[in-house]
Amino acid sequence: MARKCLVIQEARFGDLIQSKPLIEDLSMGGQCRRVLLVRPRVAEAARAMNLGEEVLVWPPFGNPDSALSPVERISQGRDFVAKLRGEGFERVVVLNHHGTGITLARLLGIPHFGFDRVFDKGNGEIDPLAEWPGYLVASSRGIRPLNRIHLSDIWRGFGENGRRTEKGPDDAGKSAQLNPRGPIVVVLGGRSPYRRWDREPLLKLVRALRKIDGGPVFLSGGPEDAVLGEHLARECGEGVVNTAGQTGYSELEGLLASAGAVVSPDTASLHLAASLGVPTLGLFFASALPFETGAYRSGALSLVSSMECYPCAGEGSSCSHRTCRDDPDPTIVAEIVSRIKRGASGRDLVMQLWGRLTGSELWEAEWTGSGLLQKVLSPRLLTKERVVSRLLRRFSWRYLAGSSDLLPLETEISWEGTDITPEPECLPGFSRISLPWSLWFTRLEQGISLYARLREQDLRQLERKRLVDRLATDFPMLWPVLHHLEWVEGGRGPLDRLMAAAVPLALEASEAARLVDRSRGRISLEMERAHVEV
Amino acid sequence: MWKFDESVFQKNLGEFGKGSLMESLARPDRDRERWEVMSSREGSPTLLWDNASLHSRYDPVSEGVRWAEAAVLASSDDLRGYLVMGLGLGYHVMALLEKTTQPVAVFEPHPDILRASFRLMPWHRHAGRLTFLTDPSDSKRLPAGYQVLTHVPSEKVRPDSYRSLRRTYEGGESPSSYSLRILVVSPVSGGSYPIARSVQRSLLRMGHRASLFDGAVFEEALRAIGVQTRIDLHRAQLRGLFQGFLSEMILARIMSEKPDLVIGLAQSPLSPELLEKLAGMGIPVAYWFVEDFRLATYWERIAPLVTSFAVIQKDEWIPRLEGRGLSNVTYLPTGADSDIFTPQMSGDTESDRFSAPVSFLGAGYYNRQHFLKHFVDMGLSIWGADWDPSDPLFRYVREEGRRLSPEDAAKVYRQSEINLNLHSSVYHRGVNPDGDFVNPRTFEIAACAGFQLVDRRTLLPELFITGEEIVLFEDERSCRKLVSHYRTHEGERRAIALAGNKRVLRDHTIDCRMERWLSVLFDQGFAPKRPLFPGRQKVDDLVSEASGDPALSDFFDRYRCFGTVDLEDLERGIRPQESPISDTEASVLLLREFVREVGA
Repeated sequence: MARKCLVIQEARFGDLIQSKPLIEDLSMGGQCRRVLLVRPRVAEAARAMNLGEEVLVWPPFGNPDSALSPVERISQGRDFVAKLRGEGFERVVVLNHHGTGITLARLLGIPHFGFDRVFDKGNGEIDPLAEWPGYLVASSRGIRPLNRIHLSDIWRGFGENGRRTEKGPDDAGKSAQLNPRGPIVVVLGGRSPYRRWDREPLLKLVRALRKIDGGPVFLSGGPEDAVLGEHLARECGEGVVNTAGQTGYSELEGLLASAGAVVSPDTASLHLAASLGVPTLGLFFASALPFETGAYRSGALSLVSSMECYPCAGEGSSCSHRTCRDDPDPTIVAEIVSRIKRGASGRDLVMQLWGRLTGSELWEAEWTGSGLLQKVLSPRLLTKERVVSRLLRRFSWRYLAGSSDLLPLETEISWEGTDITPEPECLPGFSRISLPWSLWFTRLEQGISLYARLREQDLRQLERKRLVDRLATDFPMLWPVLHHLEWVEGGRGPLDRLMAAAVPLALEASEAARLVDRSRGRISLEMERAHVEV
Repeated sequence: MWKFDESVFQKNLGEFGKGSLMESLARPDRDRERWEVMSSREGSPTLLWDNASLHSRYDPVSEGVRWAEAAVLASSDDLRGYLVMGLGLGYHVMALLEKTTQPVAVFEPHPDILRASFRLMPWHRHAGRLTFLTDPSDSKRLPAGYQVLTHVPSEKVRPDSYRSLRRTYEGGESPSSYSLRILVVSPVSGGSYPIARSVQRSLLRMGHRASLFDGAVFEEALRAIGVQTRIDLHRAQLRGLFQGFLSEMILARIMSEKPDLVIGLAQSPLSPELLEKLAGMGIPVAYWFVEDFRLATYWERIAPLVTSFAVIQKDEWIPRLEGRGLSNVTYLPTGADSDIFTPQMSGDTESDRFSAPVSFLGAGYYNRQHFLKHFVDMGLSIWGADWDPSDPLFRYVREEGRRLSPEDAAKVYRQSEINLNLHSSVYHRGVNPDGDFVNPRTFEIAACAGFQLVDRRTLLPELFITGEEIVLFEDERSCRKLVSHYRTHEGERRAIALAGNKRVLRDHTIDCRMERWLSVLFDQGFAPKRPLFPGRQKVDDLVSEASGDPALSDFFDRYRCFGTVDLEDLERGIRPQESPISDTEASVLLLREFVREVGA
């Protein structure tokens, strides 16, 4: 009899698609029957996508819009729990930091993976989180701009024992299938007004697509985009078809599967198109990050804002100008989309658009042994923070996945940028306020070594806290590590894995110092090789 | 033909006097002073409530017949009965019973009226298809499909009950079906600060989840701004920045607490910019402007931006606001916080410190400085701030002229023989002849069962019965006369104070005001997020609803000693350490998580 596993996924459609790699892992070659529990709004999609052998839906007892009386709610909830308790699940995996799924998993009283508690209870009380769930919380609350691990890869870590399998998912490693005769699909939506384009640039984009590509353009989106879609279709005339607000899951899937290319902000449609093997161009501005939620497929392209304030600290609510969406020009976007439809690689595109790609960076996804990574294709300055983001990724990967299947450091750093920012000038009469790069990384090396030593000692809580505070003050470059291991994990993570990750981090910090010192211009042979290839 | 008859009453009682109706009918009249029976011109009796007739003064019988004819004419074919809201003496109901064979249910919340009608009308003849309801919740027993008919004059007696019935029967929303999450925003200081605290306490008593943005913690900061510079422009700039800071802080609090409703008091730091933002976010704001609109003119910017704008003046004021196209205005006089202002004397240990033969409590406004000079020979003591130390009157100011806490103020009201209450004015030398609104002190003194002499206000007579519940003066001379009289007539003082106290507790507490305001808000279409488990529920009702499900009714039965429960009570009663969690308990825990998720 097959083992039975309950996967609780309560997030939106886009996240549901991004949990697909984990759900595939959980099949364990068909030995495990996967039952997915989702919220009603994504039930249709979950069923149509065949995510798992069975899809359950939360009944309406917890839905505020339901007209059930309190007694009816409790009765319905009771029947739901009884049903799940009788299903004979062997284990449960909770993907979201939601009290509902976590509580349900606890109530089932079976082995429990993923989120097993709520980190902060809203009263100031903190309940530390470990493993990949701890990293997910750490990355979403504090070190998000530095996070370089894709959400799908984080969720894959939620599988059995919290350690990931080495096998890469079938889809993500493959390049997209070309369909040069297919229409181009423009997705109008976006989770918030800050993550979507306005009417005028969209109009310009659709007109440019019609002109450059010549093929039909389909506009896609939810009911809230229907009026905009109608307007664009009317304005652009023949060859532009509005489907916004008119597609259920299967129609949307059909539309995307037939597309030659899809251009979209960070939406479920982008993820669905990528999972269907369609070439995609993701548009990432405001608070959307391709490192976190880019299309999960090798070769998928992302246009990302290069404004200094990107990504927004929140959802962009404090931004008065929203100018990150103004670049690049919609005509350039149209050019990129029509070329990827015909199989142009990211590197080709950069060469062809040289000098015209302003205000944005072009990134390309690449599947590696340590998950899906993004590499920048357009010129980008390498800053200390950007180098640290890669060092931190490698540290976290070793610490959480226990895996050493990483790219050479030099390669990975070169994927983050090329040109090195100049050392800050020392004005007459002022002392230098920034550390030189090499010293900065040396300090990181020292800091992680000291932290590892601190963790080895059996210190009283207060003493340990005092020393950690001291480390955070004296080694500010260490804060992302301390944020994760101390603030979220409460300093309770496994020491052996910390040591296994801290030693390479110290070495790599030192190597990074050497790399950035070697040249103030290009940092590595790796990039030179790339340019020679071009 | 029409006469009040005890034997009719007994027969009616025999047919209908069961349960809560029996209790209502058996009680003595509560509001005997508010109503009277008089003969109509046609000879049949009619009932006057607060001097307004509930039936025609000419021919109530014919009027009732016309009412019933119109009701039957307007009935739909598929109705299953009539629910008549308001009984009065019952002419219209009797006529309806004669014109229809459908069942008739009559809602009459006031026992005095019910008793009067039971003495007059032979309702027992219609037993079987006639029922009487006295509580809005009784309408839950009625099947759906009853046509609701309103006897409009009766509705004025207890408008809240009628609204409540309509909502209960017709399935609308009412404050009592919710435990609302309400953020009360207080001013930094001033007279409306204690009202904000009282509002919060009152809402908590009503079962709402009320929290306070306590502006008082910034009082020192605001004062510090004033002493940094003598340049007015800088002061204004700094205060503007400070106001912006407070607005952001309130916004942060609102975004964190996600209240169903924000209540602001006059002078609270809810700037027009913030109110605009909240309106854009769809967060309803109710604003109680407990100020004189003639003096504080910032209402012009606030009133159009809020969901409900409650005011303490009406005759000149409400038409003016309505003339600007505002339909969100409500007359809401101030009231007394019955938690603080009580006749209870047990905590009053410093009787000398907070008592006087003749007391005055309040700030040293211009008119008071002049007025009170006439009472220095009558045992006057003054408590309150802003009195001029160079004024000879200052020697009568106690506690070094500090502002008293509400608790200390209550001691003064309770322990003084006569409390003078003169509404403030910056223009008059004594009583403001055009004064309209009633200050909170009027209600607070009465709530303490203190005796007061108060200056005449145009809105006072509708709040208290002059001469019975309160005594008014016109000027210094009449006030002196009254002081002399009542100092030597303790019995009269006590009787008036007790009557005033009774009236306040019945009609003029802050609780009464909040109930009324929330009802008005609901009537105006305010609808909070639908709660998953609305407020407190009667355990009996839960057990009864779950009666076909033994496991569920047994679960609710565990909480019977609580009387009523909310979801938190149910959660607290689950003890996983004592026994494994049942499916029902698990459901409660999950429901609790859903509530946390949506914040409702």
